[in-house]
Amino acid sequence: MSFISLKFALFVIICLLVYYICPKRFRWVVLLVASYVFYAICSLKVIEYIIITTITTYIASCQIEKIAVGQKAYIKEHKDLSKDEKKAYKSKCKNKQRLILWSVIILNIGFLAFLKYIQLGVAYYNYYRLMWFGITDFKIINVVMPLGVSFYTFQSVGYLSDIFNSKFECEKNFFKYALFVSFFPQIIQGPISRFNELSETLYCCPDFDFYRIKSGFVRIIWGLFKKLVIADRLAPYVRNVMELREYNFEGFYVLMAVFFYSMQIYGDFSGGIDVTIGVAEMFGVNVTENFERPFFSKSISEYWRRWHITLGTWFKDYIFYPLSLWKPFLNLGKWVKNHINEGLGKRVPLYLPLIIVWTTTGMWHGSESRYVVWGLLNLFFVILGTETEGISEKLINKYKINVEGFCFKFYRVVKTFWLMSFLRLFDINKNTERAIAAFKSIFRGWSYFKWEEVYGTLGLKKEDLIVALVAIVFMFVIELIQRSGSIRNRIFKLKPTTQLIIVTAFSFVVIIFGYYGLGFDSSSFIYGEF
Amino acid sequence: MMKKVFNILKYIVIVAVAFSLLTMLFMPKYIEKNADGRITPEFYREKTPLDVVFVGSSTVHAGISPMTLYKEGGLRAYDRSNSSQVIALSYYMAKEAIRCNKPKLIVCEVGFIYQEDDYVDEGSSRKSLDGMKWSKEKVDAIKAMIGEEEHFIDYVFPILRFHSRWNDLCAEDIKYLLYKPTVTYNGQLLQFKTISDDKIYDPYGLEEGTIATERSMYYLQKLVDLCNENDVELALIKLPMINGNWCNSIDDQIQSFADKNGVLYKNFIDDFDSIGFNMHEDFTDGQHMNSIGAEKFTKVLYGFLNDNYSVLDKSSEETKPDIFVKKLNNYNYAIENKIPSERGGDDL
Repeated sequence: MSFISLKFALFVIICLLVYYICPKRFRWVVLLVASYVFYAICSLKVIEYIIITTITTYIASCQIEKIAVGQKAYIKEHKDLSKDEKKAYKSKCKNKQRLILWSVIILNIGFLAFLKYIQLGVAYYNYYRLMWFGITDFKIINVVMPLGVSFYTFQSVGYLSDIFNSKFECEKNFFKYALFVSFFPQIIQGPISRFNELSETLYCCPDFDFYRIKSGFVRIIWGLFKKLVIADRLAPYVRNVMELREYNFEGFYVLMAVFFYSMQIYGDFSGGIDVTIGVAEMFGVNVTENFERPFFSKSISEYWRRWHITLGTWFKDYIFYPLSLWKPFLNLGKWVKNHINEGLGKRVPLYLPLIIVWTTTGMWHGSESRYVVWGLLNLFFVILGTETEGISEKLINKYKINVEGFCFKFYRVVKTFWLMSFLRLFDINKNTERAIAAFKSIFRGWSYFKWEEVYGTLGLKKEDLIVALVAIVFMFVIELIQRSGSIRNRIFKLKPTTQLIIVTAFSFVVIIFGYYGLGFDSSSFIYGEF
Repeated sequence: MMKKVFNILKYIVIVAVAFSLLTMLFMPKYIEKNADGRITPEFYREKTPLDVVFVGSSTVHAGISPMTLYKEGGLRAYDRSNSSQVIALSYYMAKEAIRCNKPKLIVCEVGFIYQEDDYVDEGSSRKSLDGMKWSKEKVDAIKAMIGEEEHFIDYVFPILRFHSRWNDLCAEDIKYLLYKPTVTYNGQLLQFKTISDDKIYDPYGLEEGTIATERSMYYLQKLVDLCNENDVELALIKLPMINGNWCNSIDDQIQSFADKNGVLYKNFIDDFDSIGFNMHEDFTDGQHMNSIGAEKFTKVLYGFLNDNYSVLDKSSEETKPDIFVKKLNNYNYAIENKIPSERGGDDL
């Protein structure tokens, strides 16, 4: 059941009716049942994975907390213990907790890795058997990916890690915890929520509030606008250029595809998140924002703080920070500092975790090597930006550039946008070689460009191009206005009739100009496949 | 509280009206072109009880002239056909006609009976289905006709299907937004194109051995049962053509089906010369008669119906002037002046 289907709309309406008819104390149960019904409809064959993740992380979190509580009670009871005895006891408890934590993490990340990489593994296995032994009896394994496996696994592992670090108390009610893992609006493509944030509203079951319903509705429509009017309209052109590139569709064709793919993936992913947040809002649940106008970023580091925010913070909190404080890395840094170079020694505990973070970020996006290359290239540009900060500053001072001026800011925004857009060539092409070849092809074949080919062979009609460009400009204008506060709030301060006219007109725009229905090649959500 | 409820209702009505207008704007109008899309909705304008309803594919609305039947013997008839209309859809058209107009006779043209079981021509089906009023027949017809990639909801809200017409909208869409003139003559579409003299057709274009599809025969049987249940006579016919998809094997199959069910079947293909056709004057192409040919054929068809169905005998009935007289005058004028239906329509 896709987010952009009428079946989903009907499902949400039914759930909302039942949710608000039910007594307050049972409303979270309605959400749990709805989430599992949704999951069963979409992914019944592999529902066991989410159940296993829920059970294992729930039991582990309870056990970890039980040990922590037991430890406190023991120390309280045995006040006569020496400092060393206390330390030894605490260490023993921590080891027990660590054992539970890692067992469950390995189990769940193992599932995820298995599901993501088994087919790639089998392909390599077949390849090497053929190369070394000439065996052509290829093995085939068909794996059905559970819906949202990457998202709920990361969310659950993050929760467990937070319990291990005593950030908050674990959820005692198994079914409430199951709702946290499976909450249906965010199961398809995130965001990856934190328990302490989501639980604030997930279980509180508010009274019916029409304001929340209409606010959620507008957010959904906005998401559908980005997905249906922009992303799906541009998708055929991008795909066609990348497939037909060898047939003289190079130069400006590819450059345009690079630009359009950035718009497509942003419209697709952030549009999906808007739908998620809008649906959750209707149920009175506040889901974390996942985007903050990323295309207005002035550096790659900033871009990654504003794009897929919850994934970035997840990697930062659960991989980068623990690794940068990991003793072996710190020791290695000291050794390098003493034996090789002081500057390099300082960088070791910082860059080694970053390499791991960006490699895993790439692997999270897909099993092919191009994703790892993509991740490491991102890291390269992040490091390049950091390392050349001094040179940049010198140049800025030498040429007396006004860093706060519009022109310089605009230059940095454009530079970051295009850099990130070019890196996405690894995302749209089937392998690293094709991605590099696509990049190179931008610099040739400009004289072959014909608009007729864009409108015809490449599948982007003139009218669709105009609609897409107008919609993109509209989207950016709205985002710029959003910097000074929520547009929805401003609309809802107007007279009811004016509100109705605006919302209805915008809904009609989406209905009319949306790229959907029979004969249209609308695609599923790209991040839903991660 | 009452004021709040009233306000909510008011907003719902405003949105519903706006949505309906938007849908009406985007729905194809089928008036100045593809006028066969008007056959189904115009059927509901017919308030007079009918004697005969014809169902079938485009050959019906091209070749059977209800006005000629009225002129010949006072028969009140209607063509409920459409381009590429398969037997399944003809069944639902007949079923609805029986419920609404209680005709004495249903005549089913079987020319499209060989079509594949999974044959779906969405464009053609929609012309019939979108024009139907909401009823059980419409719901069943949609379910029977819907293609694998189609969705039922797109029929409930046709804007979801036709939204992409935003760059095809033209003056016709505004002109006929709220009012659509009558363009058919009880389902018949007038057309006066002829075949060029050098055009040659081979008769019987369908490969020998071809038989009707299982699905078509299933719905044909349902049509027989429907007529029996409602005490309505049924006739099966095959219209004349120059080049068409027909062969002896399929003809024999229909004949034996008709014999088995006690239904009359008449193939008019072999009556080409006795009807007095001139292929270069009476046909628009290999399969479809033009309106001149339709007049010639319908006179013969009237004789066939009159000979075989006593329920259609009007000799004892007192003739009262009704809307059909006005319709006939308009029809005669259009025939005399060779005015095709796809010109904008008459206000009947």
